[in-house]
Amino acid sequence: MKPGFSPRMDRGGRGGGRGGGRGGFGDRGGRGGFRGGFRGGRGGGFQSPDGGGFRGRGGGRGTPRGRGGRGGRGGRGGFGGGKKVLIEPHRHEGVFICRGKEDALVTKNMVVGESVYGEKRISVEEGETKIEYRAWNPFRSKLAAAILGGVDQIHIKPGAKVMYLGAASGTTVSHVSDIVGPEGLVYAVEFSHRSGRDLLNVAKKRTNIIPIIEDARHPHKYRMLVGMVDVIFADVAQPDQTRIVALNAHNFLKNGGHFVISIKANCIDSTAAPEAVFASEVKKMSAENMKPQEQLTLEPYERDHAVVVGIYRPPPKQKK
Amino acid sequence: MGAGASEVWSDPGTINLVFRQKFEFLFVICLLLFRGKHAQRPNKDKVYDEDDPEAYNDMPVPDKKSSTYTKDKIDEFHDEKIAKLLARGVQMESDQEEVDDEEEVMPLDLSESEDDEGEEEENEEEGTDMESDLEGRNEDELPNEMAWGRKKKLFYDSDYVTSKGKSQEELEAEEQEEEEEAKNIQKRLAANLSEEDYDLNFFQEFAVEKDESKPVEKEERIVKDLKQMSQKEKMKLLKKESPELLELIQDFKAKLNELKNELQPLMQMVKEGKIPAGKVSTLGYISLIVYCTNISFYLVLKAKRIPAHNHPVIERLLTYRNLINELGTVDARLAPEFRQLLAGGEKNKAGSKQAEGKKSKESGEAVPEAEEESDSDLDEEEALRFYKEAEERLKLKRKGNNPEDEMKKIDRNPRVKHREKFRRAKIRRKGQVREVRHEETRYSGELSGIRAGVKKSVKLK
Repeated sequence: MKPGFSPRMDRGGRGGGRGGGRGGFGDRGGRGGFRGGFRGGRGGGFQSPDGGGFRGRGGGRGTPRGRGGRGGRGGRGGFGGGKKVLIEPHRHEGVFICRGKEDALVTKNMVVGESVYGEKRISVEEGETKIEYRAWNPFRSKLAAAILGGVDQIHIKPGAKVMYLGAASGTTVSHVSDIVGPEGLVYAVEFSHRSGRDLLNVAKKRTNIIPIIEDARHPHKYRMLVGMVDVIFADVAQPDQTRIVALNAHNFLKNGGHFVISIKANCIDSTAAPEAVFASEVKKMSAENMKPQEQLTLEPYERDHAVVVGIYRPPPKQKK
Repeated sequence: MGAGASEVWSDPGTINLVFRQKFEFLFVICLLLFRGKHAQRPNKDKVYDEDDPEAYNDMPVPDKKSSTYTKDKIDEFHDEKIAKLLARGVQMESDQEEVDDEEEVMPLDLSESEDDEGEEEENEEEGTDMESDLEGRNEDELPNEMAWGRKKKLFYDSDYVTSKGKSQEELEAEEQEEEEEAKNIQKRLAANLSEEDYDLNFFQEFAVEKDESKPVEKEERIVKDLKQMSQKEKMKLLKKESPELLELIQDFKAKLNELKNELQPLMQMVKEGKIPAGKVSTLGYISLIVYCTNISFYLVLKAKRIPAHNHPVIERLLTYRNLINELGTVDARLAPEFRQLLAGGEKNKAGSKQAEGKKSKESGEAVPEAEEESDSDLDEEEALRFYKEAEERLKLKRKGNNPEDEMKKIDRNPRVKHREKFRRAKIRRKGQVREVRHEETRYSGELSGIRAGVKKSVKLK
């Protein structure tokens, strides 16, 4: 963790600003009738990460895209819509926290005005520039669940090149693409054509996503598309997922690069105890030159899931 | 083909004989007509059109006067039926009568009331004849109170309380009625009892009945023997018959002695207020008295030669005996104190002999002589304290003997114990692992807030 990026210090410095923002509560009564704030209407005041309060729009316009059914839903406005919310950076670079009545994890939207899977958006106007954030639902993304659960490192940060195995419809991939930003790259590998179609739609809008509709067990099939990557994120839920990750790591992960693997115990061995499954997977990783560094269960959001973060071919220790 | 066809036609089962004859005749004519031509031709000619007069050539000329000339079989059937009805005397003109004759599927019983009256009359007759429960009906619409009915249902399922919708007065009236009824029943039962019912002969009768099953000769022989037997032999027989008797007599004597000499004076002291009432002493006293009473009753039974083997008094004797034996351990320990107390009591009584008179005389006889000079009040207190402590110790000891008492309640049932353990483990796990929740409403953030600085992951090596 960079010392200059401590959120605590950051917040401390802006204490006054935040208080001011909250002060705007008084005129809430005037907007009392405002509901379903997402679809138009004026939102409350927002505060950008670098201080200074302003008025923003209560969510963008336009139809949400992605998963049908969810997008069309009305209902309550986003994150206390019509109230002041505060956006502050998370410990993990590229991830932000939207603080309001309920706190939510958000990422800076690369494609302003577009929802990928019907998630809520919060836009902030800073002078002429308009910044939009997308809420990150931990129930739909293991990475978000891991971040909320308190994982130490995700290694996915702005400018990173990420290989995402098991991209599915591209919900998490879209957030990863938000995090890595225009300088970074996401190689999204998904075998299923059906969810691959959604992934392609997401990739159409986001230039930093390279969709690969291939079996991750055969990395040589897409070796011509992929360069060296800094991080491999895997959510493949296959019994041999460690082997799959190792194959890809051997092909594309740089030495000293990192991997983040989500393990669903049921998919590896439904008869064994989850803890035992996690332990055996960790052991398998060690055998493949992948050194696990931390492990975290995703308990309030997923049952019997764990995320293991590690380093691939760690550099030899410096002798002192 | 022709041969085959004739075969079919000549089948006796399909065409009757008369027809057949005619047919043959026709056949012959046909043969004559078409001689030299195809033999099959007549076959074809057999099939006539309906109005072809030739077809009727062979038919007999019907008799115009006969009934069959205008009527077919069905008509005949109906005629026959009507004729039968007429024979039975039913008039053809009245349709109503015909309807009545048929049996209705669900008839309306219009003459019901008349029938009922008839039944009632019958009932009345029965009532006078047989003293049935319908007897009272004519008087106050109530059945005889002794007639309870035979249906099982009447005696069950009537305990429900129908207090709803009834006033207090009604309820009270009902209760009173019930009480009166109960009293009546009691009276009736009491009236049936005679003097003999209070007697003990009741038991005797049973006993005799049992003995009578034995042959009578034997009994006589024994009676004879008793007179001739020597003292030793008698004793032997007695021992054989009721081994407990002698022992009981011994016990009776000893216990009576103890009562008279030790407990009676002690109780006297308690009554007078010299010693505060202690539980065990009264308990022992009472149990001894009851024991002795029971023994005396047993002896009475023996004297009357009533067999006491299966009498409940035996069981009672056993329980009291055990009780007294248990108390005996305490008593044995306290014996010296008692003696001391009694001695003190004797002294006191001797001092106030004139005042007390009779009582002191009795106790003076009972108390054994023990010449010890001591402070009686102090001794009494000490004895009492000791007595009470002993009682406590005994209780504890008994408690120790019962394994169920020492167990915790939860240990008594393993299933309940496991259930409780599981419940606790579940609660404990709540603190270790957060419970999985699902996205029921649209996700709108973490209610409990997000703390960016927190790290909860487990470091591996």
